[in-house]
Amino acid sequence: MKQLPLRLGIAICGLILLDHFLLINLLRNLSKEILDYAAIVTAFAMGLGFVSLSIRHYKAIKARREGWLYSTILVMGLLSFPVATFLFGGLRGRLGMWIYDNIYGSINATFYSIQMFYVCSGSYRVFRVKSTQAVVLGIAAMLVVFGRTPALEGLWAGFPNLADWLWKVPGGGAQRGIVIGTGVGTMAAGVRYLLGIERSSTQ
Amino acid sequence: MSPDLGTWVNAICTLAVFTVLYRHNPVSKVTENLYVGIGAGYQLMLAYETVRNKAWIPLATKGEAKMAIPIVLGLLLFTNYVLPKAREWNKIAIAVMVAAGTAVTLKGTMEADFLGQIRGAISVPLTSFDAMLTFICTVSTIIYFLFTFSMKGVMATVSRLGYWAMMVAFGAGFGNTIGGRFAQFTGRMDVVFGEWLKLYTR
Amino acid sequence: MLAKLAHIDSRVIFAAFFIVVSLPLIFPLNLPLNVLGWTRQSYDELQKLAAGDLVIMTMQYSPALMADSHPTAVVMMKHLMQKNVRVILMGDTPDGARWATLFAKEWEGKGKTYGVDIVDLGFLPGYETGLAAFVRDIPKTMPRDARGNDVGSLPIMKGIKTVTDVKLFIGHESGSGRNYVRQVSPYKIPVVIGCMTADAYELEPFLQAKQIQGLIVGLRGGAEYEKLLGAPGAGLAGNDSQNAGHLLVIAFVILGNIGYLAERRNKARQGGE
Repeated sequence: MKQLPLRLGIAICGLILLDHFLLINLLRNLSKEILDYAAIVTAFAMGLGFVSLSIRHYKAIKARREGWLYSTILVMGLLSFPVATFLFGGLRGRLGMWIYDNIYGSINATFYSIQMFYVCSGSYRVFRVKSTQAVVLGIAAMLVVFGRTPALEGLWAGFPNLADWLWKVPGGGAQRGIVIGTGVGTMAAGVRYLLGIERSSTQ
Repeated sequence: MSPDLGTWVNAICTLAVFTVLYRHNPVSKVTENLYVGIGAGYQLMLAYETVRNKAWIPLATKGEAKMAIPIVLGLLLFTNYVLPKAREWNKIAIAVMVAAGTAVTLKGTMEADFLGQIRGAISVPLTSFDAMLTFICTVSTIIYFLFTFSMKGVMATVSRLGYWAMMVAFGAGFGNTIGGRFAQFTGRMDVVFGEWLKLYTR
Repeated sequence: MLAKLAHIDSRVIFAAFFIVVSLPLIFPLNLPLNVLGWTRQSYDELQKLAAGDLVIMTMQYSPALMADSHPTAVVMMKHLMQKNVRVILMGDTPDGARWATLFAKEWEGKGKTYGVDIVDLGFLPGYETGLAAFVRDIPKTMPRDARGNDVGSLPIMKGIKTVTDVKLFIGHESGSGRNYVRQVSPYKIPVVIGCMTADAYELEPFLQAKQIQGLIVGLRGGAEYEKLLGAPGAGLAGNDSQNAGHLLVIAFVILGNIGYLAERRNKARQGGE
């Protein structure tokens, strides 16, 4: 039993990869089925989060642990969509979409928008002439910012072209090198899994 | 001001989250917990819809018995909660997901990230300064990531060039990222000033 | 005194950005906007489409990232509908599926026929794995649309088997744009990606290598596309705020460096004494 998940995983991975190289209908069909199954199993995994949160916060409310009121709010949130789906017109019904647009969407978007403050405050603190690396980093960043600010084209019309050049030539070249490097790393990790060396997901 | 309840709730949630900029407080904690809860509930309902449409309906109405396989595999994920003694079985479901994901990523990476990028790098004729500089930055960055042996002499110089190319790339990337953050903030302010307070219309 | 500029309180910085980035929304500056090559390339790719051509458009972004990506999706949808192109809408994340539903409802209300001109396939589960299955066999991976209809019964889906049966694949990404490059590009159909500003950097090499045919970057890209199409919207409206914010970043970086250099000079003087 201990070896079954690992062996099954290697077999599935190998089969889907073989399909890429060999044009055999049986392999193709099998590979398609497995990908479909994996997508459905992933959907079940999405439900795991709900179960885990429900149990944890139910226990917190029952034991009146510190912060149990917040847990109550969380559980109310957990139940909101199931109630809206089964009792008020389905997942895309009026109540469901109202909750999504006005509460979930709003909070989600605002948490991300807070990044603006931290990124800008971080720019102020990081782009200082402390070392050669910081200067190079700062100049490259500021030139791109200059290029993306049409208001500064009055100072010099070449800012957008310079920013584009920095982005595409040295930046693009280095980024391509990083993509190739990470590609090799990803392939190495995949080969480790295929050879059974990488076992973290099955132990 | 808008008479719509949804707009009021939207704006109040927005301002409640912004209070965290001053310091963490009960209002922001309420919004955090609400967000986590609603998000998990939404994901659950999407998962239910997916399983119903892709597996249950073909199994129950079209008699496709093979769709029982992913349903059983999916249910195995919950053995941890339902049948703790059989919790080892959930690793089978995890193995299916990880294996399929690994194969798909490996295939895609080979073609797109590796071969595609190498083709892109060598297919451009080195007849202009820009083309030559891009090629040099690409090669020197790849050499920078060679940790198999220590860099000496010319290789050390090329590796160092890769390091500086990456500094420029990261700086340029950061400069570009700053703009994106403003967009997210203006989106929220549009709701507060435009839709809620109605200070302007678009 | 100048050395204090190196230690401005974070909350002062936050307040300054809050005011400076918000004000242009209320008092527009109407700053000019240049159209970058990336956006023009993407626009030209859509201009090649003819009436009746079939396109897949998928969304990944959540409400959190909506402000950066949604204006692009809206204006591209407008462009496609203007050209009477048929569109298969879907989301490859749970949040993305929401926009597919919104677009389908919106354009149905504007005279397009659901099932003939547009279809909402809903959420494609499995992320990259699901996308890999989808491009090989569309009806099998998504047997029902978001409204519960059998896709085989919809006229727009007649004869569609794999992704090679469409003329263009448009993906509005929010962190996983490489999924489209890895899974769709190998099928040699044109791919245009609307990406977040932060991800443009990662996707640029694929555009240079011609693995994708177009890249529209963030809110600015959406604004540029709106300018090209002559359809001003949220993109152009946010352009002024972005500009104001950039100027304030530059100002703070300059102030920070003035403060830092003053502090260093003071320390050197004290050390000399």
